[in-house]
Amino acid sequence: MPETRLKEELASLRRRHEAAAARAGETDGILSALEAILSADDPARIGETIFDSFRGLVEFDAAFVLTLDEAGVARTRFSTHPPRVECVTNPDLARVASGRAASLPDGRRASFLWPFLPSGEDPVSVMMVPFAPRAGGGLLLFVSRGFGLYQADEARRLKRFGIVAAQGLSALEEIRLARDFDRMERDREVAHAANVAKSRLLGRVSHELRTPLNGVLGSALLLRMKALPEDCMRTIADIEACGQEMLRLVSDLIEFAGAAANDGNGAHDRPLSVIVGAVADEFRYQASAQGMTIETSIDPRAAALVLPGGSAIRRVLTILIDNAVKYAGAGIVRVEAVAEGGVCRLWVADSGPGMSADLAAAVFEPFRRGDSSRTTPVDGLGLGLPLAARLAGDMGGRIEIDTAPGEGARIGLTLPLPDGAIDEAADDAAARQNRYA
Amino acid sequence: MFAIATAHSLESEPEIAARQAADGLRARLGRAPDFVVAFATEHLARPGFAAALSEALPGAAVFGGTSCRGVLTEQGFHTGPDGAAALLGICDEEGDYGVGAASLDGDPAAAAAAALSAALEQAGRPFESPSLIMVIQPPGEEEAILEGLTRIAGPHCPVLGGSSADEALAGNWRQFAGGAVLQDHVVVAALFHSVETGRAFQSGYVPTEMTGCVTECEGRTIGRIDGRPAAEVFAEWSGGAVRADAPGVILPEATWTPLGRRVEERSAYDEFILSHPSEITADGALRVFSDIAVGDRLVAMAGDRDSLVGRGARVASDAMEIAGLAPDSAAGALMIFCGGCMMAVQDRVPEVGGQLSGALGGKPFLCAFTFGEQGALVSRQNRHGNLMVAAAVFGADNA
Repeated sequence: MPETRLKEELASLRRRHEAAAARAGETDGILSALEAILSADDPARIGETIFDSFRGLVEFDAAFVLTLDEAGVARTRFSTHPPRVECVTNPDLARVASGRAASLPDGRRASFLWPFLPSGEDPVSVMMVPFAPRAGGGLLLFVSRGFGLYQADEARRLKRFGIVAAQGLSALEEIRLARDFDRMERDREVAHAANVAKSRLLGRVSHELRTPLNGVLGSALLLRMKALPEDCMRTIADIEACGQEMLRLVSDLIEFAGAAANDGNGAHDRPLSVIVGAVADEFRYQASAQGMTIETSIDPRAAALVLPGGSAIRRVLTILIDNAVKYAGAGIVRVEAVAEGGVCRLWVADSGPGMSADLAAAVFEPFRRGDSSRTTPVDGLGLGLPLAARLAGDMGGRIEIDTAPGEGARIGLTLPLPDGAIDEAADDAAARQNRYA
Repeated sequence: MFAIATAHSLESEPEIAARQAADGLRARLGRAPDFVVAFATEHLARPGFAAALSEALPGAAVFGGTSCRGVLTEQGFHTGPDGAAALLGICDEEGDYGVGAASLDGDPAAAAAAALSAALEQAGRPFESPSLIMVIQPPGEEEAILEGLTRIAGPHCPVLGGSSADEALAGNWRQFAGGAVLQDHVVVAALFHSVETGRAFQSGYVPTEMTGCVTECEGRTIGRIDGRPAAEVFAEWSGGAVRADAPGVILPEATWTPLGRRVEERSAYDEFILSHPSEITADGALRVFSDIAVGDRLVAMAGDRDSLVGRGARVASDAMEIAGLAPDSAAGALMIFCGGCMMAVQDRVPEVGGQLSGALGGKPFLCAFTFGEQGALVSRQNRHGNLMVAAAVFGADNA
């Protein structure tokens, strides 16, 4: 091969070698930048991390990360320098955000870029590169004093890096979010476990109190059966009264602690009419002693319903009737059950003094009692209605109150019905009837 | 989608040639192109040619001019006694293209700036630097034209250009823009293509030990080298191929020993810009086809026929290698090849085409033969030179 052609070949090889070395250097730069992004551990420095990662790849005096909303409005998300306006709108920005990089030899020719340029009249080179660190469009804007410093090829190369870097940042943010979520979940689990432990302890302590209390009450009963002086008998009666009251309070605490520990929603497969009747019967004697009447009215469609959480329903109903008997003082307590519109409602209405709206709103807070101004003292810790509300919530239902001063109170438990529950209940009832016919 | 195809015609009637080539292009692309590069010999450079082309390819930005003695594509060297025309069409849904023209009219730099501004406006991206600028003009004011382009797009925006050529240096060169055939205009195309491109601009000649400093010069006429009459010095450098005492055109003889100027830009190797000596004057001066200044160090360059024949393929390969493009990832290429070099190896132009085709993996290309070449050196500087080859190879995938 003649010398001239050998020299020509050599020059060609040198050019290719130099270009390959430049590409390798560029790849190294990109990898280093990516490494810097992916090792960033401070979310507050994410903008700084982005700009630092680009510094090895392109020279700039100022840089901005803009994000575009659906209306095409670009807002500055990160920047090395504060822009003069918060947001701008221009189709060129939208075009870049959609993936087409651009370089402007003098950004001053484009008025939409003025807010990002330094003051003065000297030419300023601008390069715009697609960059979306989160879902949605965005772009990076590099600004450098001088004319025509950026080339379209350069913008295209940075676009490729920008896409990878943005994906890296997104992945990083997702990892951080997942870590935060895991941490919160762990915290929540610890808090829940502590709450359950606390409730169990409360229940256990209450339970342990009940045994000696029963001993006290039994001893008092034995004493009462003996012929003792009258003043002793009065003392014994006081012991019995106080002991009974303490026993009731301890029982309330055990119930509340059980519900808080999610232990109070046992299965119960009895029809609603049976539950309502049984609970109403428990209170008839006490009501009668107070000169009160308990009436029940059960919609035929509700009567045969067998709802999940039957024991919880029974407990709620017990609380509501107990409340009505306790607070109404006299008159009628009406228990009503209806099923319609995909829900079942249990209402307990009394003819007592009723409550103001403020008081009605407060009675579902634990340890809040009824009207403190009432003349007749009412026993209890103020846990009944909060417990009822919690049990109702656990069943996917709710407790409502309808009352006004002097007009009695009507408190209802509303429970969602599974699809077809009324029909199934009717069929079951019919089958039972046939079976026993 | 990015696609490139070429088509040609040897019809003697300009309108028929334009329509035939346009139909062929549309058929190969499967749709109308967004951008068309059209080169034809002076025979066809009549108003009907550009008008018919524009009519046949509505919506396409058309750029081009006259090529010396024919046009080379992957389908062969298209030449003939009645003229030849060839088109390269680009379909690029995600790209933007525009063409502008301006009369040189005494201020070539201002004309080039105006033409580029118009091209950017037509591309719909008036404030930006395009990915590539294509330029064509008559021979004579190329340096000023490059300076005008720099005013608008900046110094680093790559240029690929050629000075329009005719058959016998008779001034029958023309420029094409849109539907017009123009004379004494600069025509500029702004390309915002959506794919990667590899570019190269090289001489292919190698430097010799013979050098000299220009000590007297006016424009493109060198009076003295190292204080001696330039014709005398060049006659020595040519090894007797040129005689200092025989004034006249020396283009063919000087093809093998052009003058080079080292571009001081690389550490590993030197790049040279060439000037083709065209004439020896009666007073012993030497006329060339590019601007020279007092103080320029000239190097006698050397080349041979084999080197010229293989040069196109080497430049195309370098363009791809520089951009990291493999032949199978190229969509096609645009080549500007010195008309003087082509004439020196005209009988072997099909061989040039075959080697080019091999380097480009059989992809479409269009190679025009011009009287002056403009391109971007590896250092991103745009230069005008003679006896040069410029290439832009387009990748197939979106960048």
